[in-house]
Amino acid sequence: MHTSLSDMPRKNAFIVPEGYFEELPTAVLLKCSVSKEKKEPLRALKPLWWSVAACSLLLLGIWFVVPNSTPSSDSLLAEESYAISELQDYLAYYVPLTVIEEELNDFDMDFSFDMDFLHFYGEISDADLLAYNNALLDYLNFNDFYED
Amino acid sequence: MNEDILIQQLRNEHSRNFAFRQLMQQEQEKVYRLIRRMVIDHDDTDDLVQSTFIKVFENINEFEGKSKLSTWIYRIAVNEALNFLRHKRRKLFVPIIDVERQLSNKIDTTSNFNGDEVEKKLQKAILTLPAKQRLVFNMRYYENIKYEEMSDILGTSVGALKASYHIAEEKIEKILKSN
Repeated sequence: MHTSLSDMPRKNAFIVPEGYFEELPTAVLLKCSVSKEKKEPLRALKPLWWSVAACSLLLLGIWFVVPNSTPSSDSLLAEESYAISELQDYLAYYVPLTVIEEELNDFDMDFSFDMDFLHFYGEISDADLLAYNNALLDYLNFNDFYED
Repeated sequence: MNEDILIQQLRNEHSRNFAFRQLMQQEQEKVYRLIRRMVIDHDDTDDLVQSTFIKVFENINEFEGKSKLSTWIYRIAVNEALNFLRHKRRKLFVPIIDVERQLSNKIDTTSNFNGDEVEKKLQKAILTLPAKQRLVFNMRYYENIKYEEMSDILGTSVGALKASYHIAEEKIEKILKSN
């Protein structure tokens, strides 16, 4: 029995199935062409790329069109002045009333009706409401509220 | 056929398949033996040989010609074999010794091995070596590949390869002499 490497014959004991090496190149080439086809889907992706391009163009179009549909500087000024007048109305009517109401309550006065409510339903005119507010403010000496 | 001409033909779409068949006929048996000694099983070897040559086919344009074409092919084959063993270890969550034991058991059970008891003992002894040392041993002992070429294939210095082979030889001798 051989007990040293140098004594042993260097043979290949692994058996290869018959005809394996004859068929191997064809099998590999077949897989190469399949894997080549698998990589082809880049072509199949072309419609997707067209879709992406179309969407990009659409977005670009929106980018250019939307700014044109934004309000002009004049309309912005108009909106701004409208917002200011709204705020002024709020300050002139609602806030003083609320504050005054609280103040009156603090003074233990009977002021249970809601002036704003009456104004809203047209039971009191703008001028009357303003006059009423001013009178109350004078009474309470609360004019500081209007100061900046 | 001159290697440069073969490479040119491999890069030409019209001559590619013909040249590739020639290349495979030249190299396939050596690549097969190299991988088979590492993974033992024929079916696993077949998969790895095929994936090696598919990579050669697909990446022939990347071959820079710094080494021989056959060296480049063996390098791919070695990587395939080592990656296969690495994945097998990860997949099975087993330490290195168990994978090698599985391969060793295959030598006993496979019908594709026609060696006698001594040959079986030698193959089992080779399987006790770490994967890279096993590669070095197989390449030198069975394929008689020069250390310089092995150095190109494995990216290891000639000195380290000689030392590795010497250590492998001693381990195997020791196992063969035991019992």
